[in-house]
Amino acid sequence: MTRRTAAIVQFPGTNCDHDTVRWLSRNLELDVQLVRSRDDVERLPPGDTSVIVLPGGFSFGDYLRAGALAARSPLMDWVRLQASRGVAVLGICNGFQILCESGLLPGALAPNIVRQHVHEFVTVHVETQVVSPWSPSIVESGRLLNLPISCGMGNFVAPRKNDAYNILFRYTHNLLGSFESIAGITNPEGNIVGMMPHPERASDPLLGATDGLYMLDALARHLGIVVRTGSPLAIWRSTHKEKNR
Amino acid sequence: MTVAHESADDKKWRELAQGFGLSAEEFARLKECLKRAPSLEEIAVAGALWSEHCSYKSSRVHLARFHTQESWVLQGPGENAGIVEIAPGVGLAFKMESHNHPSYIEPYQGAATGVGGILRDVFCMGARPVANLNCLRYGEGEYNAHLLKHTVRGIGDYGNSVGVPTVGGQTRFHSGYSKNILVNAFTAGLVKADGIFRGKLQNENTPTGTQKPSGLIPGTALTHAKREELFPDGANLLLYFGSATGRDGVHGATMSSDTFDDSSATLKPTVQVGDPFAEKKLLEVTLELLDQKLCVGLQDMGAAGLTSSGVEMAGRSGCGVALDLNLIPARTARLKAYEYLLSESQERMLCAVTPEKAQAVLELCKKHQVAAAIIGSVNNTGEFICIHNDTVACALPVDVLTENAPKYTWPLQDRSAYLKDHARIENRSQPCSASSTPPGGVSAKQTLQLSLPEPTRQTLAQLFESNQTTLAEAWKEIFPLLPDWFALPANVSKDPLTRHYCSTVQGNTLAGCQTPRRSAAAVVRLDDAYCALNMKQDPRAESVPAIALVAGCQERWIEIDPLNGSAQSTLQLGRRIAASGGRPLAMTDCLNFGSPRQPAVMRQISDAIDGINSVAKTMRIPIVSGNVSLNNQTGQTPIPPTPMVGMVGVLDRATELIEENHALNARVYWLRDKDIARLSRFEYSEWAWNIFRLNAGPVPEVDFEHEQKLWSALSLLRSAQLLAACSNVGVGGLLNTVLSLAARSGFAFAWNEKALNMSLHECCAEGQTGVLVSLQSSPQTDTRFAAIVEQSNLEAIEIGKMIAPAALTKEEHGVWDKIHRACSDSLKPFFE
Repeated sequence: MTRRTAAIVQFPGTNCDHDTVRWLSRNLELDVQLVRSRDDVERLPPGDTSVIVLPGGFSFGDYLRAGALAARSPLMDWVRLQASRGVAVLGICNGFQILCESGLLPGALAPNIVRQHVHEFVTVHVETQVVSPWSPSIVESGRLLNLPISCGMGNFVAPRKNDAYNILFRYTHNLLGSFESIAGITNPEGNIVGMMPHPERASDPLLGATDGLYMLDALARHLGIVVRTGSPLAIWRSTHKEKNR
Repeated sequence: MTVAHESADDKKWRELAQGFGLSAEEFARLKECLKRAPSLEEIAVAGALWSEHCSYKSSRVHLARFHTQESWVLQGPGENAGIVEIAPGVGLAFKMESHNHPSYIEPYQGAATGVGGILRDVFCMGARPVANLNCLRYGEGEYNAHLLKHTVRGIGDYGNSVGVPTVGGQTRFHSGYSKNILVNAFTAGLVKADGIFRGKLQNENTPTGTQKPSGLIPGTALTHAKREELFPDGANLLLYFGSATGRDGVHGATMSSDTFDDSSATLKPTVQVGDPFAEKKLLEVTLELLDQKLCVGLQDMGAAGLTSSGVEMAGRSGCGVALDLNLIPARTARLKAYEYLLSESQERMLCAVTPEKAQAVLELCKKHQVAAAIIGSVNNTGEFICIHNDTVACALPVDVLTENAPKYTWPLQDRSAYLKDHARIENRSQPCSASSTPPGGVSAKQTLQLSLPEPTRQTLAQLFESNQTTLAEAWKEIFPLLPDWFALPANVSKDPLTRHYCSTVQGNTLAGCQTPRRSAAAVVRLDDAYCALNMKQDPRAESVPAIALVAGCQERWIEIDPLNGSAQSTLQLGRRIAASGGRPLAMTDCLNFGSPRQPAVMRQISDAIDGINSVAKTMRIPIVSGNVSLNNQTGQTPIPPTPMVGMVGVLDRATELIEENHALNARVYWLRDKDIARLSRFEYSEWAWNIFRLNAGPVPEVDFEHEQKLWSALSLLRSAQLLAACSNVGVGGLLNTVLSLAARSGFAFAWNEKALNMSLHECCAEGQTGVLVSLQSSPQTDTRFAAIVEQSNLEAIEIGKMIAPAALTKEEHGVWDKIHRACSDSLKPFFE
């Protein structure tokens, strides 16, 4: 069996790229590649890319609007094509902003109501009705996850038509002022997910936060990806099963 | 020299030189060195490089005493940052720098560019920044509230955008900073030991042998033959990359020089403006450039911009440098020569490359969308030569600017006279009358209010009057007043401030501000990329080492006694690293003082250096980099002496981290010296400062032996896996430390009888006050703990336990609720 590929999209100013690479490669048997340009795309291993992640950061300095310039880069045409083929796409923080700016997800992210950058661990509620390769609700519903947010523009503003998206996560305490406390959404098909909290920073017992592993767990189950032996996810899975029994 | 007989023209030039920061004596010295009249540009260059900031002219003699060498030091002072080896083959580069004056004038950009500057110092040595800290000092009043809000925002926005976590630091308040706040930024970065890059030009294309002065006179046109001499074939080229140059940061004083030029270009001196996106690109291009070994020398452009980077590069390598200013990428048309030279535009670098590799560097810059241009060359003149519009603007011998810069040995006040003058320091913050700001809140005007409400203060003063009163006797009356105590800016939780800093980016922050785990020091795990470990073999990465970081100082102690005070204060930082599970390795300093022309200030500088140095020598924590910021004063009143220290340590395994917060129902022990009265005093504590509005000496002399015993006991307890949590007993002594820990966790604290029988003064004393520990609940923990304590010749007193407030009476529960709110919310309104 050929190894599956995950592409991590990197723009100038992206700064969570290495954390995201480590998040996937430590836990899953995936070939994780950083992609900076169309040339890098050509160099990806043959076969289909299964996973694309747009990590957090400040692409192009987030001047103009957060994600606005990255959304118009040629690399996003490739992401758009892959997304239309059903590849599992995840945008975290700035990645979410880029997905909205590029039209892959509806809505927009406005400045936080507090008008300042906020970094805090927050609790999000997993919505139950969503089918997505990234959704922990496949495994269990109604769960609360503790994840960090770190953003200046995380205030989700929804489009008028509410069938254009599904809600995946809601904040239990709506610090940023998001519409209906939305922290993360999927497209109607479920393969594209955008979220403000950072699961990649909450997937390690040493950091005192492991709830980000729920998403990798879901991804592995949904796409049939092998979990790396001895990885935080493998250990988490074994203890988690015991708890549920 | 006499200025009595100078001509009108001489006077004009002398005043001009003064505008550029040169005193009359220094201007005369410059003329003497050159044996001719200097040009405007030369005065600007000398003014910048002979400034306190660049030349350390008043502190150099004292700084030479620092203990700087140990086997683990890879790079000591003299480079852009110091480096120590933290794991085999892995170095940690770190430094702290001040940005006080710009931050007072324009807090957002001032603080942001301070962070940018220190980041560049670290990454231009080839290190990838992994953590930022900041040490901040504010005074009282409305403007300080404004400064607090915007400096914090500036620091956060810059660091967050570049992607370097801000993991900790220290923020304190004292009315002595009301007119001169302090913003000190610290950065640490990881570098492979064989990938360290130094500012010195490292190849044979640099003519360092006998030097041949150019004989050029400013104002003359450059002939073709001379140009070939200045820019010789085959010599290293000087390449500029980064943002374009504008007039930012060109000293306001230069305005006066406008009269010397008839051109119509208006001068608009501005503060420096930070562009974190440009910095991020600069970071990536610099590290790639160094990784590919494309350049032979590299220097960031910090204070005094191109002038200092060009001269430093030449000075370190012993060669000459020629720059053609017209080749510099400029943001504005018609920049004058001295503006090119003094501009402090941010996010710029100067590197030296061999002619063969110049093209590759230019291409790399293009790939990263960073502007770059070849602007000059090294040569054998031994001079700093600048050409502007084909005319010589500046031809200064490099040694005049470096080794032969003025050095001053200012008079010191006699130590005993200083101690006598400062035996009692009054707290001069505005008293808070009963009707003014309500406790636990901020008035609508948002003004920083640093005093206890007067009725509370008076009640507390009665309770604390006698040194015989026990905690038991006073607790009932103190307890309901605690919400006022925790609303003081000195004691509140700094979380409303640190939530603007992203502390978890890069995914390695084990403990820092706003992280699930907290520790006495900030702890950051080494990145996988820097470990020889194979991720596949050890995906849990449990054997990865981590670094522990702390920074700060205790100015109240240091003002009373700079020698013992700074030793105590520095030792406390080491204790925090030990309490986090680490081993202190090295330090950096950022010495903030008033004017060196005051003998009392000079005494503070000299003694503070000796105090820090006593810790460096005795505890073997060398000082590997540093920065000095003098003239922090308004009129004749200097700021309190503030020698900030940043200390780094190492945890051999990330799993060795000890958390700071004690668990619910945890029994808490005070681990300390058997004769604590000898090592700590109430009279110079935070309590005395606020209640009696006074701190009184003497500061107890440091007992290094005790501290060594304590640190090794902590290390033994950690290896025996007995510790559940460990916190340093710091500001406000035992009482404040215990209550703050409880308040932060939302707990209450139940004192046991032993604690209640302690005297109030003992509970509130500061100094070498040991640590608080709670133990793992495993068999025989208690006996093993007792054995190690006994063997270390320390004592451990059980003082009580953390409990849930709900278990208390309704009334007590209500007070604890108020304490929690005062502690967590009092700073919030400043950031809204």
